[in-house]
Amino acid sequence: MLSETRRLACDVLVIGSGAAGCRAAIEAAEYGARVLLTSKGVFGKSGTTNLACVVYDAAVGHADPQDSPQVQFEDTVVYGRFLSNQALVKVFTDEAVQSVYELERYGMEWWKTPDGRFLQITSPGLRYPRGLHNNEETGKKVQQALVREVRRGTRRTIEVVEDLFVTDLVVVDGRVVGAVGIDFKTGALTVIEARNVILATGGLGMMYSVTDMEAGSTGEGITMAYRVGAELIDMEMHQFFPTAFVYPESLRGIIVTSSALWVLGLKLYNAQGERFMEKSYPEEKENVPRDILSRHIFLEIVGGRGTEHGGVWLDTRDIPNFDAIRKERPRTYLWKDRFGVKTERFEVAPTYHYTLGGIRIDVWGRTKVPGLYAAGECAGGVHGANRLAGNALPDCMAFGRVAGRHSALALGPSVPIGDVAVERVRERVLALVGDPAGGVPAGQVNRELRDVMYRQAGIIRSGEDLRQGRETVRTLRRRAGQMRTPGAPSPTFGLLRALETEAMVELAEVIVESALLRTESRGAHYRTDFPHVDNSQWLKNIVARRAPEGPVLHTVPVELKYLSPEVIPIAVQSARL
Amino acid sequence: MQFKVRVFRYDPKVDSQPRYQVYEIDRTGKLRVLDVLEHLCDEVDPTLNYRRYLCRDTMCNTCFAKVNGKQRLTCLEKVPEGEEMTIDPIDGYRLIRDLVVDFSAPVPRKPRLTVGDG
Repeated sequence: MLSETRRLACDVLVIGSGAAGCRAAIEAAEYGARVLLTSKGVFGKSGTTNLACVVYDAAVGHADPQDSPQVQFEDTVVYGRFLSNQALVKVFTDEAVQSVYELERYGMEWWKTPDGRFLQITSPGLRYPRGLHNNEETGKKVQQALVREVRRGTRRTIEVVEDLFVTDLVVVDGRVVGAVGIDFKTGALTVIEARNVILATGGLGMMYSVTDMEAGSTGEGITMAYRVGAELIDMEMHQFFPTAFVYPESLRGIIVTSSALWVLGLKLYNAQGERFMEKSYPEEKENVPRDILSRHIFLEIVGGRGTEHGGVWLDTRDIPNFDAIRKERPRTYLWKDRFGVKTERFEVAPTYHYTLGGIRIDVWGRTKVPGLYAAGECAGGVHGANRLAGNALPDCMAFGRVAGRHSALALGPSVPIGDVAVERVRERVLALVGDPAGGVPAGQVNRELRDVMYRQAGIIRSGEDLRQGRETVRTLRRRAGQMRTPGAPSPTFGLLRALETEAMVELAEVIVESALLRTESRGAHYRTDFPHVDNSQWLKNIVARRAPEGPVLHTVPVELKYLSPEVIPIAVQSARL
Repeated sequence: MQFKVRVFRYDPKVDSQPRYQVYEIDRTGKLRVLDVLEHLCDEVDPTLNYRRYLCRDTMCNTCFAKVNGKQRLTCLEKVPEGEEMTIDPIDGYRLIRDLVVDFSAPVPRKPRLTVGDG
C-alpha cells in the first residue's frame, strides 16, 4: 500500500471543495495563481454545502428596504452573544450582497417575486426578512453554480484533484509549503508543493454521534492546522439544530427543515402532551433562537418527558394547507414516508449542526502560520456563540474570496518538499496498518468518541461531566495510538477512518478543555453549574495552541470594535434572546 | 434476524477477477441499504470500500449502487424483504475499487445504431 509517490505543484493549494473552497479557488485563479483544488470525495458532491438547506442571508433589502449590511452585522453580533470577532463579521456582512450577484453570475437561480425582486424569508433572530433561497435546495444550487464556474472552459488555471485525503501539511522553516495526502483513486501518496495553502475543510460534525452533517465532516483540516502551530478559537462553541429525526434509527440526525414553519402553526409537544415552550416563552413559543430551542428540547428529554425513542413530538397538524408544503419539500416530508415516518406528527431531537469555533484567522483569512489560510466553517471566531440561520453560506463565500485573493497576491517562495518529510508521513500512515486482532479497531474508538462527545460535551454540559469526558477522551487518545486497520493492496476507507479518528481524538481534547475553562453559559455553550451569562468575566474568546503535553489555552478579550452589549438597548436583547 | 449481504469485491490493480463476499448481519435497525454498508465498513470489514463522503440525505447523489440488480440511491433505498441482498457497483463509470466508481470517468456506451457509408 502507498508504495508510489506522485508529485504535484501549484501556486495556491485549496483543500476542500465546498462553497468556501470553490470560491477561494475561483478568486485565486482570477488573480493569476495556478490553483489546485482538492476534494475528499466526489468534486462538487462531497462537503456540507450541498446540505445547506434553505436560506442565504444577504441584506439586499428587497423584502424590507430598511434592511442593510449594518443591520445584518448587528443581528449577527447580538445573536452571537457578542463573542464574534466584529472585524470578521463585517467582512462577510459587507460582502454578502455582492456574493448574491456573484452567484447569480455563476448561474445560480434565486427565487424571485413576479416583479423580479429577490424573495426573502425570515427566521428567528433577524430584524427583517433577509433569507434568499431556492426552496430546500439552496446549498445544492450554490454548490452547482460554483462547480460550473470552477470548470468553466476559460478557467484553465484551476486543477481539480478528487478523492484526495490530505493527511498532513508540510512546514519548512516555519512556513507551510504544501501538503501530503492519499489519492484514493490511484493509491499513490500524493505530495503537493504550494506557495500558499487555504484550508476549506468544513466542520467537525462527525465527532458527535448525532449530526446532520455530511459524512466527511470529520474536522481533520482543523487538526492539521493545529498540528502545525495555528491557533484554534472558540472550540467550546458548537451549534445544535433543534429539530432532527430521532426515529427510525437510520434517519437519526437528519434535520427537519422547519424554522419558517413555526409561525404557520408548527408546534412541539412533550410526551405528556404539553406545549412546553409556552412555559418559558409565552410570546415567541417555539420561534426562538436555535440554541434556546435545542436546550429546552434536550431538557424535556433528559427530564424524562421525552417520547419513546428519546425525542419530543413535532406536530404539523395545525398548519393550514400543509399538503402543499409537503409537496414543495419532498426531501423533508414525502421521501421520509418510505421509512415509515408519519409526517403528521413525528419525533425530533437536536442534532449537531455547525462548528462555530475553528482555526483563528484575520480579516484576510490568514492564520498565525505563514503560508496557511483558512476559510468557511473550519475557521472560527466569526459567528461567536451562536450562528444565525442563513449566515453560513455568505460566510463561506466572503472568506473564500478574501483568502483566495490574498493568497494569490502574497505568494510565498516555491520550496521543494524533501523525501524525508514524505517518508515521515508514509511511516505515520502505515503505522496504522496491521492485524486488528493485535490492536484496537478504528471503528470502535471512533464510535466511543462520538458517543462521549454527544453525551458529555454536547448541548448541556457540567464541570463534572466535562471532567469525566476529559478522562474518557484521554483514554481514547491512548487507545487510538494502538489503532490497527487491516492491510490491503490499495488504500481503504478503513484506513482513512483510522486517520480521521486519530485527528478527532486530538481535537476532542481541545473541545473539552475549552468547555471546562468557560465557567459561564453563553449561546451554544450551556453549563448547568454556571447557568448565566457573565459579561463582566467572559466577554473573552478562548484560544488554544498545541504543545507536546496537550492543548495550552489562554483567553483574549473580545474587541468590541463597533458594537457593545451596553449600546444595544436591553429591551431589544431580551426580546430576541 | 440474520440477513445475508453479498457484496461485489474487486481491486483492478491486483485481482484478476471480481468476486462476491458474503456478510451475515443482524438486520435490526438497519433500514436503508446505506446503513448496512456503513455498518459493514465500520464494524465488520474495514477493507470494504464504498463511497463514504456523502450526504446520506438524497442531496449529493453519489451513493448509487445496484441493489439486487437495480440501480438505486442507497440512502433512499429500504433494505429489501427476504433473507439476502446483492450489492454491485453501478454501470457506466470506471470502477475504482469494490463499490466505488469514478464519476468523472464515464465509460461510453456502445452505440446502438451504426450508420453505414452507403
